[in-house]
Amino acid sequence: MDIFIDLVLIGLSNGGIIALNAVAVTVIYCAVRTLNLAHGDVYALSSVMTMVVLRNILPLDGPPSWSQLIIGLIVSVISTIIFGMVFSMLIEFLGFRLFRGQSRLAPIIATLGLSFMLYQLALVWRKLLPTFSAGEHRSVPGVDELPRDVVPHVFPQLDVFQALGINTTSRFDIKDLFIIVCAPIAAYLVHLLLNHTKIGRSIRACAQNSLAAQMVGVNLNGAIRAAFAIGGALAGIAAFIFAITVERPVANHGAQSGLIAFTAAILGGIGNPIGALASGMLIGMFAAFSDYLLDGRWTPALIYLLLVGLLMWRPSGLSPEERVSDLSQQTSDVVVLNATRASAALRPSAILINLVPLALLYPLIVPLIGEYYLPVVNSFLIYVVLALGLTILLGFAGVLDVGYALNFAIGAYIMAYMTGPAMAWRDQLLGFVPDGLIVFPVIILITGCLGIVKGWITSRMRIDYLAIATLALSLMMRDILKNSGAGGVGGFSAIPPPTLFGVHFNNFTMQYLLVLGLVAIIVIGSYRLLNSRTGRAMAAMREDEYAAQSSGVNVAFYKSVSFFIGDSIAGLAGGLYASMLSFAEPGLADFQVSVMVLSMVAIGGIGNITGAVFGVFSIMGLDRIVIPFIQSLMGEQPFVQFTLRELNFLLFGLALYFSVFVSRRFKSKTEN
Amino acid sequence: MAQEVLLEAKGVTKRFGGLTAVNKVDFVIYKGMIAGLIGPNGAGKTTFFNNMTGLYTPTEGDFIFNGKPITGLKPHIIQDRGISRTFQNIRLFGQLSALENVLVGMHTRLNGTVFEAFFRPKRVIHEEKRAREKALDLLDFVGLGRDSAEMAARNLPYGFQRRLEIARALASDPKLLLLDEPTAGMNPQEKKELTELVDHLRKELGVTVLLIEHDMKVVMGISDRVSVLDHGEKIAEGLPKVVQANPKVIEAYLGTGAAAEGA
Repeated sequence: MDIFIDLVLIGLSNGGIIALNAVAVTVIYCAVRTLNLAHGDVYALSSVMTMVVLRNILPLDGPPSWSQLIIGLIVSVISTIIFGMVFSMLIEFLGFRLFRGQSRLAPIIATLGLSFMLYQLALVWRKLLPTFSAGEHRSVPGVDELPRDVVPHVFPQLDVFQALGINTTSRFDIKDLFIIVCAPIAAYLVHLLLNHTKIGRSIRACAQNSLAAQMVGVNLNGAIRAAFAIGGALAGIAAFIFAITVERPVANHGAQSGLIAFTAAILGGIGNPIGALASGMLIGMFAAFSDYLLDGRWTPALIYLLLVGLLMWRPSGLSPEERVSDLSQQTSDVVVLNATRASAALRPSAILINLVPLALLYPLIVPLIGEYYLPVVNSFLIYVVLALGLTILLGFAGVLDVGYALNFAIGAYIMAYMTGPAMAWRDQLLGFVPDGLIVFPVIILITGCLGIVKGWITSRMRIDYLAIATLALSLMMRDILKNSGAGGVGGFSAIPPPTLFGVHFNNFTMQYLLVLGLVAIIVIGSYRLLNSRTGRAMAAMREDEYAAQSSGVNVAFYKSVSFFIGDSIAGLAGGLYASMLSFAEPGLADFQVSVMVLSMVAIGGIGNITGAVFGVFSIMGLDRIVIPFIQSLMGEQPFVQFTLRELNFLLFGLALYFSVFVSRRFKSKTEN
Repeated sequence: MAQEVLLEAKGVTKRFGGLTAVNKVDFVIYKGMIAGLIGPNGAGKTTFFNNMTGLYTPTEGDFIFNGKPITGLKPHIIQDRGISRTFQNIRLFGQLSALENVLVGMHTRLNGTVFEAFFRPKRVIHEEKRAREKALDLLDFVGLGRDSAEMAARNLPYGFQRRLEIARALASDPKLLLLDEPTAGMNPQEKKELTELVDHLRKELGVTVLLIEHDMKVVMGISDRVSVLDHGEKIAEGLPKVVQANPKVIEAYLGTGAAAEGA
């Protein structure tokens, strides 16, 4: 019984923070009719703000005086709320207003980019904090210390049950009481704000029908801005509460807290602050119970599963008004900017333009930079394979898969299982180690079929929900790989290089030729696809799904085909990765990998084959060659080393953001 | 004249919640005719189209096309059976070239499979070549000319976009062509040209046409028969001249008083 009470209390206090973010997501959704992917990062960044303010007012060691405490809390809560509001409104401007009325896809990609930029900002900011306090000796001189991003103590050690004289072994910290009281108050205030104030009414009016609201004199921009300000303030409050109770800033990439908040918001019936509050609390409780009864490692995966399930249940819209909207009136969401023209497939020169530089790369680069970079060049080519796969899925067929790395990881794991050392399961079943190259068709088949399953799960979803569902699926897969018996967090290592009938591709030159060959096949295949009945059907589906159906295209079938091709190429890249870099880890399915590939494809103008190759080289070149080169010039300064190494998030963010930004300019130009 | 029935709608009803958009409409189209469907805004004309082409499934009633029921079939299957359509608000594949738009329209008449897309056997090469020639001919036929073939559809002028949509719909050699307000947004000269094109279609390609139109002049000029929908119900049907004089129709368009005055 005491354990039950403990779990309920833990659940409620964790749920309080989820609930605040869920309310924020709900209010923002009301205004823009889509989920704000950067919300979690506003929240995470705000918690750094709270920490910085408190560290400057409160002593890091020893208890604060009352005056310090009161001033510290007031200043930090106000500054965090303002901070959250400012950043949320900034996102509204950069991620939504600039793209209003154009496409539902653009804000998704733009906020994804902004999310990564904010994450980078949080990382650098935390890094900038003093790593040790005055008078303290550094443990090892010259070695970079972990940032001491702790928040000073605010709450006294006080057990509410004890103080009240209740006889129980359960603990009920004053901190938890604070959250459980604060969250409902904040949610109720938002409820009042939406229902009983002018600005609240205008937000709800825009949610019902933005055109009609504008006609009766509601300022649409003002209402949306207000919704983001409210959302940002809530993120600020949640961040403040998190920072002072957990005593550290939110360290995860904000996408994770964002996804959990989305889940709660959807579960509570989107647009309903009280519902979001209740379901936030419910998810907190669910997490507490699943942490205790099942295993804490599985809780996020279960929440992602819930999210995907909810999106499958309401694939076309979360609020009642959206669901009745007339299908035939829906505009299509086209993100493709600079698609390779099908007519290019008829000219061999167009194909050679992609392959000749890749083929020359190796012989040119060896004398220039030496053997050390050869594996780097090979990994570039593996990313070319991956980016070409996403070019087909996103660029040709218009499927915005934000969790594209899912099958990359699966491919790597299949390779590890089939050819890696000491696989009891394989040895029992097969009794021999198959050749690496023979495993590839198996990988293609399995990952392609998984792609079809992914396509089926997301088949009826609106494009922005599809993005979120694919993201959740890939994170779920990462957690499954991490937690299941499959090698655990570290994954598998010592996977041998590919072999075929006794030929070992065990030197870099052979591996280079192998991947180059595969890239050539995929490039030629892509051009052929583009210029075929199948490719045209995919493009038609991307441009306008309903018009495609009315022109006789079986959209469901070609969606499956696109997923099969795209995901089997991801699996192929994963298999190559595992056998050439000799390891497979859960991190391959991570958000960062998916977004990296997405940004590579985006740089080249989504849908462009040559562009994708160029995107890989610009991003990987910066990441693997230019940044290490600058690092070597900068010498041994730990701060610079750390920051530069981490800068790739900024890079991905900028690439994504500017690709849609440019596409917006481009579109408005051609339409005028 | 023994006329052959091409499409028959039997008691088609479509309700959205409490709203009845189409109410027990019976409707027959004979082979080779140009049938007009008119009615004031919100009369249920486009909803009727959408039910026929498979975007919606009728709440009650059936569509029978060429002797076989097509009610509830998927849009791409209905298109394959021989009903093509255009849209009131033009829905082209904006980033594809005009030629590719027509080739997509030919989708159900081509055989290249997914595998053949990659391996490109001789048969598919020939098929593609023939398809291209036919698509270019169609572009010529609707008056786009071969120069526009490689232009992205979204960059074509408005009138050309309308014509391209018709070419795309014709690409599958449909038995029945549904045109949803093909002259919307055009000036009188353009309207006249488009009307000629529709007339041309029937004469040269032998396509049966069902035309939704707002502009009375256009419908009256080319239709063999006109049907009038109002509030989801068919209130009149017959020769254009006769329908035009029907008090019910005048009432639907102009209000109760007008009918009384007219009579």
